[in-house]
Amino acid sequence: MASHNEKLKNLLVEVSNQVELAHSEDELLSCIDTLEASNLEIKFENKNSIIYAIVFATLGLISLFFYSSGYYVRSYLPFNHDTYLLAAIASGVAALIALAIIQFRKNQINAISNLIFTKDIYADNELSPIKVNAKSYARELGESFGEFHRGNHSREIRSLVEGKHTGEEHTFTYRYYQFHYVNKVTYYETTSDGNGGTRRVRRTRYDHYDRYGMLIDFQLAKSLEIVKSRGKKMYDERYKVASNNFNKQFKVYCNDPMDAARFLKPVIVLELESLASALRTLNLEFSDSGQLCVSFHDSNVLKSNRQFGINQLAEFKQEISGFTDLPKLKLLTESLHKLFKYSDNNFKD
Amino acid sequence: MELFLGLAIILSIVSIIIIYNGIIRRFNSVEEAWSNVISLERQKNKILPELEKLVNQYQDYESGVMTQITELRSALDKLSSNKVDTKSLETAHTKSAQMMKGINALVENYPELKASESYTQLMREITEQNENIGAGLRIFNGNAKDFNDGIQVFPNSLVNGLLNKKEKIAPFSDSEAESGFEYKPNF
Repeated sequence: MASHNEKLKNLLVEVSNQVELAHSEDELLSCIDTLEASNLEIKFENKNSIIYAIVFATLGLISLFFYSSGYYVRSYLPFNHDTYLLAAIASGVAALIALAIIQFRKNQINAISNLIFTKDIYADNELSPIKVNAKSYARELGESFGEFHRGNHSREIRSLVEGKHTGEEHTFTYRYYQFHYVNKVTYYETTSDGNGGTRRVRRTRYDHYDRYGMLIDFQLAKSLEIVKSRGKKMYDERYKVASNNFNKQFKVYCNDPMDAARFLKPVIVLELESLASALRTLNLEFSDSGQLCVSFHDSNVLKSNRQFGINQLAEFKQEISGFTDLPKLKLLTESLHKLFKYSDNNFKD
Repeated sequence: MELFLGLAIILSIVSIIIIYNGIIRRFNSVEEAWSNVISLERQKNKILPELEKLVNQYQDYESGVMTQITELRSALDKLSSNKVDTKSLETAHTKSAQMMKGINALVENYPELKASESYTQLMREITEQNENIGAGLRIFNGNAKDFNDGIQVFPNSLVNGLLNKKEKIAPFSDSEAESGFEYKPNF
């Protein structure tokens, strides 16, 4: 007969596959129902692993004690001095493996809880993931926006999610992305040459960064950059608005200052000042073809804190049944709606 | 010793120039923000022909609104973005408020006008214009605060007292904004 851990492992694999295919909240709730119907406690039995970890850790410490003991003690020991070192290392590794197994099991439960929760956030906020070629899509976006020229080693769109905002006056679809880029840094380090002198060694480091943002069709402003820190220069003309606060926060570059002046009405200036206080290193780039890229450093726009997991099924089910609000996404889309509202022509049919 | 004295004098002169220019820059930004408010107010001119067209249909009954539109246009014509003339701005704002009252009375009498697309579009435009004027005034207040801080802190206060001789600019309070342009900037 299969043990509890064996049964739970099989159940988690089954539910994990079920969650992968789920899109709606009802489908996610039926995954939780599957877990409930199993009547298994969603918790691995780690008693043996804990005992192994304690035993091996103790053996390791004893071996280490004998290894580091003085000549007098050593002379009474039955084995070679180095054997104790090997025993200490082996016991240490065995104890770590036992602890890693416990952690792995815990992670398995957390991973399924996270997946269900993320899919529920998407379902609640009507977001759907889109698959694109990570590198070629970043290259394609780089043709229109300076943002995607960051990183001298590699650039890729790690995730892309499509959503829709229905505002009072305008409805627009947006694509939320995670942009990952790597900077290759070559530097020299002075180290010892082993003969009492020093030598310069060439080293390479890869710095990984992520930025996030939103892409939308925006035909009401073109060829304009409102940036805190731009990836690549796209336009040359500088423009300043009347607000000192805005000018401290952003730099405006454009093709034609008249276009910038038309777009940057006082309400939009204040809206962007307020948005910049909510999102770090905010940039807005309006391409020549009428695409808007809003980029920032905050990674938590599509994230929320999960209170429960599949190890607390009743509470987790209740959490999934409810609506998970994304305050930063709401703030961002409402701000973008204001850009539409205050840029459009009210007399247009 | 002489070298240090010379350096101290050069440093002082450079600091005075920086402070002096800073005060001028901040003052100019207050003026720019104010002239933006004026130009936003003048943008009301754009909607007057549309309003006239709309009201024209009811001219036989409501000629008073047409008179109010004409008075507002005349008041807006008198506004100058080059010269700070708060009196003219106040007049324009009063005429604008009177015209809005007239239009509101008109739509109360003619529900079909209230339901029309043209009326909705016009009201949306007027609302956005007013929101922009409100935002323009908030920007003005922010710049005025920067300017006031810039002439009050030491040693800027010393440089201002001796060279710039600028006075503190009173910010525009919200209650004043709500009740119209009773505010008079003192520059």
